[in-house]
Amino acid sequence: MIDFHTRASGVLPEASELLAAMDAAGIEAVVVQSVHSSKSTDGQKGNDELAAFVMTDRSRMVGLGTVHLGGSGAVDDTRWAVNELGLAGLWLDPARQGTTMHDPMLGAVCETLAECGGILLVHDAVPATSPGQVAELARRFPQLRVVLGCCGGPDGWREALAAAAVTDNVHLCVNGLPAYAARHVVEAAAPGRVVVGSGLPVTDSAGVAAALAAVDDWGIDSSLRENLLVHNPRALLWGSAG
Amino acid sequence: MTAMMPKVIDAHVRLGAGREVSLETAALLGAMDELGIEHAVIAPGERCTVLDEPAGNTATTTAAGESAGRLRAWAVANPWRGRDALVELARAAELGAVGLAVDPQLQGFDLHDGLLDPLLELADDRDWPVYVRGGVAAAPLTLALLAARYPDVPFLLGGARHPADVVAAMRHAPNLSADTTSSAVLDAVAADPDLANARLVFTSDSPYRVAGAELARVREWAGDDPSRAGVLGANLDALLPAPTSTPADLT
Repeated sequence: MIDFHTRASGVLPEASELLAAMDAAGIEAVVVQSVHSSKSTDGQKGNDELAAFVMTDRSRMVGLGTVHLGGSGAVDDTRWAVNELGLAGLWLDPARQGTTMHDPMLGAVCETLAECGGILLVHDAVPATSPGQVAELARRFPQLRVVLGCCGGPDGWREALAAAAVTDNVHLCVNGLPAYAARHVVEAAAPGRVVVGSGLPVTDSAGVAAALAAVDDWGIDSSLRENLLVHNPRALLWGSAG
Repeated sequence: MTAMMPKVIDAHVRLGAGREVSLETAALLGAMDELGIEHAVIAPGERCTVLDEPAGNTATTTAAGESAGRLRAWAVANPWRGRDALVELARAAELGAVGLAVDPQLQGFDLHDGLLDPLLELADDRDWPVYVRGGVAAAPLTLALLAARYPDVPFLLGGARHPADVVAAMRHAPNLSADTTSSAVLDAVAADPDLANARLVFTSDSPYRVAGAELARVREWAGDDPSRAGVLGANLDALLPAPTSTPADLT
């Protein structure tokens, strides 16, 4: 199983402890976002700390950094995060970072991220950041893999589905949706486009394991479950669903 | 010699008593006379939009029929009523309604939950435009995703803010027009002649806004005269069915 949506929170654990907890829970890999902050200086610091952490085993801990769009170094920071730090891409939470999907710097960041082969995960929570807004950005950068990190949330998941249906490079991360909505998304989305995330701090190993186990209560068939938890995230992260 | 004034059509007015504001037909017609607004498309009031659509549609189509052609009517039906909504819209069409108005916020539905789809199919069959009141439940790009699924149905997004979203939505859905109730939207859309020339529509949104101020803003807008004439009336004219004999004309 792969948890596509965890985050650093406070002090990161010892990598060995996390890997042991993942082994115990049957978790193959986690996608970890750097520490959440709206402060520009903390963004780069968080990227560095996260890179050092995931370097222990990049096959099982995948890092997503972030950049401060208001800063002049956003493009350079993007390139550095992926090419030098080895992070898989960036996360963006416009509401918490004090920006919007129309930030003029976002286009340049996306262009750079696409060049570097990175992923962009956006915290899309209606109404602050809508799936339609994120999909509009994704259509401008068709080579960039864009993940709706909250799949629209409880009031926007239908819009997320509609957005993904017409935007090939948009992927849906089911995170925090009620079971009926999660089931509908998994069953209705195009093949290969849905992953799942706990949305929890990566230090909460028990919570992460419980969140992934809850998929079993959604009522989806076993092949969809396998795709959701294993093959789809593998393909999105490493280009292979094997 | 005075330049010919373009025809002014107000795309959306709500008649009747609302929660905080109200507007009656006589007052509307008086204001239109004063401001030089030739036509207006009227929708039922808030309560009727949600709970008593037949009364609302009867009131607006009656007002339209008695207006000597100055008023035309949007039809309403709460999508939650399912088949009954289609029956009511067909009745409103018989009474002379010329389009469908929906309000996801008031009527309590999600643009992508499928409830509205049968009503949009009816609008498509009848060549009706669809007015959607924008807001939290109908953000521009949310509506654009829906509008793109019905490419033959003209959609008019009312009351939208966030100009960058409106422009992006109009580019995504060529059948989506926007109204003029936001100065920022007016300016942003106007900056793109491809959008402004045919897809901006004047709306007073009375009684929620002050019609004179709304109209003045468009009259003073920096666009060229042909574009302004389009915004003030011609663009909406192109969306509405051609006028036919109304029940009042036949009496």
